[in-house]
Amino acid sequence: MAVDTEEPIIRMGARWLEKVYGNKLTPGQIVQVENAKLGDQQYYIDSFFLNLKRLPIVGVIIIPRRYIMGKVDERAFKTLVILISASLCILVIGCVCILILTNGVSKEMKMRAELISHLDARRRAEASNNYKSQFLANMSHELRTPMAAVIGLLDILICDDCLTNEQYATVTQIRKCSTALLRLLNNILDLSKVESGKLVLEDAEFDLGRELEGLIDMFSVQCINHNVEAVLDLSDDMPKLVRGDSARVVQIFANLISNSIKFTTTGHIILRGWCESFNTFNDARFHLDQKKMRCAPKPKLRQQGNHMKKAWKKDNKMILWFEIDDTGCGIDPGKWESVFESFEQADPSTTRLHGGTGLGLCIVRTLVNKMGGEIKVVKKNGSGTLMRLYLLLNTPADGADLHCQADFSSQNIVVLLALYGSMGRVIMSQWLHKIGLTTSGVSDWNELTQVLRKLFHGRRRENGFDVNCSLNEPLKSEVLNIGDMKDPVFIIVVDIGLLDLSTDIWKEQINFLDKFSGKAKFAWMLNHDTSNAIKMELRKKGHLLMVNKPLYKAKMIHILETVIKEKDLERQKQSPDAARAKTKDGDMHECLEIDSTHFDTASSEESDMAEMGKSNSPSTFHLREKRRETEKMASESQCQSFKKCLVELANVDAESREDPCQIRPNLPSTQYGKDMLVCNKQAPFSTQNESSKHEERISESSGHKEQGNSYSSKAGNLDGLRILLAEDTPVLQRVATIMLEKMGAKVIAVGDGLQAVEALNCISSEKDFKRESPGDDGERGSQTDIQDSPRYDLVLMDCQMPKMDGYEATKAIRKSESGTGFHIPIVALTAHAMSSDEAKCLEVGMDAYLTKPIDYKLMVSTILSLTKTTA
Amino acid sequence: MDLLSQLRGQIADFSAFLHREGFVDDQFTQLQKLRDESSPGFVVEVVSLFFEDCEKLVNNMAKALEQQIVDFKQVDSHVHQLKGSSSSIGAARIHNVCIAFKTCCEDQNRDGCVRCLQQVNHECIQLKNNLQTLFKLEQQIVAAGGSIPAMQ
Repeated sequence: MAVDTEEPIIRMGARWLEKVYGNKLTPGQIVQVENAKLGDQQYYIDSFFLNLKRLPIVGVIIIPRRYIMGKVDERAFKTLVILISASLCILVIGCVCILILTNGVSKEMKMRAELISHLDARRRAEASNNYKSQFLANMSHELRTPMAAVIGLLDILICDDCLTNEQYATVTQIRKCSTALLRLLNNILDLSKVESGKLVLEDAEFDLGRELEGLIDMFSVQCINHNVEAVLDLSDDMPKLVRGDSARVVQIFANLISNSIKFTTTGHIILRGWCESFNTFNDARFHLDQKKMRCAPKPKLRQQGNHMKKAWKKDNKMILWFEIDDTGCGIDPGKWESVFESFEQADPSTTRLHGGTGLGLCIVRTLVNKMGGEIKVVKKNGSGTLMRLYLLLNTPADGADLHCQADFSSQNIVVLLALYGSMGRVIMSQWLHKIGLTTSGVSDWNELTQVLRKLFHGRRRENGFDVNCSLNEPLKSEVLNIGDMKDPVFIIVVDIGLLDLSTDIWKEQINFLDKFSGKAKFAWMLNHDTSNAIKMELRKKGHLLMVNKPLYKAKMIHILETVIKEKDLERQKQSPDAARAKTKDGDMHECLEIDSTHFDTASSEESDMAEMGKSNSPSTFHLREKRRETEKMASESQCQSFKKCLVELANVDAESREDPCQIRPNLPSTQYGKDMLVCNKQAPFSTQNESSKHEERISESSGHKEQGNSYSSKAGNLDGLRILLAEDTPVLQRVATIMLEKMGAKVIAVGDGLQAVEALNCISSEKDFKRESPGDDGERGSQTDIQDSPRYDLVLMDCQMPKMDGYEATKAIRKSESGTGFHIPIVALTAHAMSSDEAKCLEVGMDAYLTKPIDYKLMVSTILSLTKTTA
Repeated sequence: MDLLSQLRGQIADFSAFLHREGFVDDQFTQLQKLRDESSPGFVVEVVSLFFEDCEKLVNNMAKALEQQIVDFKQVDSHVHQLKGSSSSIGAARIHNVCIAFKTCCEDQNRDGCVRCLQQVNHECIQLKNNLQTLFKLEQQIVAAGGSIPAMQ
């Protein structure tokens, strides 16, 4: 055995062999070992036996395994490694995935549980909210009943004569507080009503412009106390009539404006309005949001509005945009959204400082949303708040009924505005400019005098203009422009505030203006508390155009029209009497603009009219008979306007006395009788010195009227009216008859529709007779019921009657009237109060309807409103 | 003067009671306002007229309901008339009963109608008594030299 070689491997091999086999190797034995480990490697060891002749050799071959199986081993090893690592990886990944999955599932489970609990919580919250709303509504309703009782009883107390001054003051205070409390309750009730979705909006036509004007009138009184100007600026393309709920719309604006007033101590509050059509609205929505609201881009916007109006008005739906712009203390931008939430005030101290509950804006937003619009606060330049909102309203089918103005530009009129409030003046002059009139404005007395001097004295000289005076630049250029016009008509609108009322200088000032009275027409803007003395002065000087502030478009148009009419009349130059009549007519017209509540405004006119009336019917007058006679006179054409004027005066008077927001002529013309009385008393006195005496008497009598609410003071309201009453219920017949006769009307009662038709047909057939045979008096006598004046002035028609009911009877009457030009007013009395009945009544041709049980005041006022128009 | 103020107090209480209990309502007050020197008996006249009418209608309705085949239309028209008159003088309770009565007629419910009729009768009598008391009080006031106070 070769165990001692130098070659290590061989040595190791030999040793190994030795170890394994020892020395027992037989010559013939073959050793084949596949993996002998020698050192650190594996070897193949093979032996072979070489049996040479005298040398048996045992050869051993030692081959490292590496030479043969190396690669395979490697590969196997690698594969194993890869396999193992792969399986490990998969295991690991699998574990991870499972973990993730379980995580996700558990999360989802958790979220679901949360969602369920949230939904549950929300449901509970809603239910509790609903319950609260309901409860609130119930409670408010219940609370209102005793509140109403309290207020009613307080009213009784106030009417009591034997209260001391202190008691009276206390009771009045209590009443004020109770009304405030009631108002609060109503607010809450409104809110909960709207939130519970039970608010139903009425759908009726109303004149939006007039409602807003009335609102501004009402608020302007408050504003004047605050030294704040209230301006109304509606664009000309706003539709006159819209369909919607007028009370709610007015409520919206009343809320917003009263908010503005509360927070504005100085400056102005502007209510702007413009409209656009529905289609282009959607496109322009984003565009409009970015527009700034200042005067300059506003005409652009109005133009745009005009342009859009020409676009196709689908469904007659209009988008009406409004803005309330005030210069108050403003709202913090962060709070612009939250102010609309319930009970949110912009500033916690607001409740303390200004009162209020924070409900107003919430109600406003809900109402606006209900009308299909949106409201939000927008950014404005300068201090104060700018709220913008739009409403989606329908216009009635005859949508062409826009503010149609006469084309004033053809009239060559120059308007000089002398108003204190700069905002109002600027807006008005812009609008006047737009409709084609030259205009100029001044803001105080000195400027006014300078301009007047320049305009008129300058013209007299006729040689250019003396331009070195102290007018400022724009005014100078305006005056120059005016100078270039040919024979214009001058209208000067003066604010009474321009006169110095604290001293007696104002008389001088008015005298000064006398110089120009021939060349220009003056229109005076009065405050609601302007004293009578001033008005008398003004009228003495011949300034008959007087309007109450604030000035807005309708009034301006009125003034312009009046002036134009007068100018036309003057130009025509007819016969003296007729001219007098007509100018009196014109005067009457101007009388109409006096919408304050004093009689003396009527009295001096009446003295003139009475003179004229005297000249017409020269018989002597007694007080009572005069009433009848003036009625007859009234039917003559000359005095017709007189009566109308007085009645309208009285109407306007009473209107302004009551809540000016209600434009409905719901008024007893209480002054009607008084006016006649005044007229009577005036007849013997024709000097104006007596007018002061009359003022006293009138104020006395009006004072009396103030106190009692009894019907006796209204005696003779329906004097001379002949009323046909068709009613089958005897009680009602009797009651209505007595009621109407008390008022001085003559009542013929019939029991069913057939008799009513017959009664009226007799008249019409009689009229036919009259027409055919004018001198045939014999026919007349045969009609027993019908006396000299041949027809009834009004018919009160019950709707449910035997034989022929109210509807049929009306139809028959209208049919018989269709040939002639007559239209007798028919008022329906119905026990049903649903709108379908109203529609039915109007369909058959009735003029008005009253529901049973009858509210007598309403009946009287309806009768008056229907008959005075035909008188 | 004491008697007068006492009577006044009585009448005020009584009319408040009438209003509260729903015997009369605002319409009646309006009616009373119509009364003045020129027609002092106005309210009495109207009220008596009403009760006459009421009696007549009740009789008619009773007769109609006694028939074998009840003509509900006729009864309905009577009720309608009664409803109208009662609402125009302000007899609130009678008015309400009439409303219920009308529903019975529409349902053609004979028993219901009979019951309502009895109720109407009952209410009429009650109201009559009450108003008589009221008028007596008023007469007393006038006799004592005062004027009848305006009711609210």
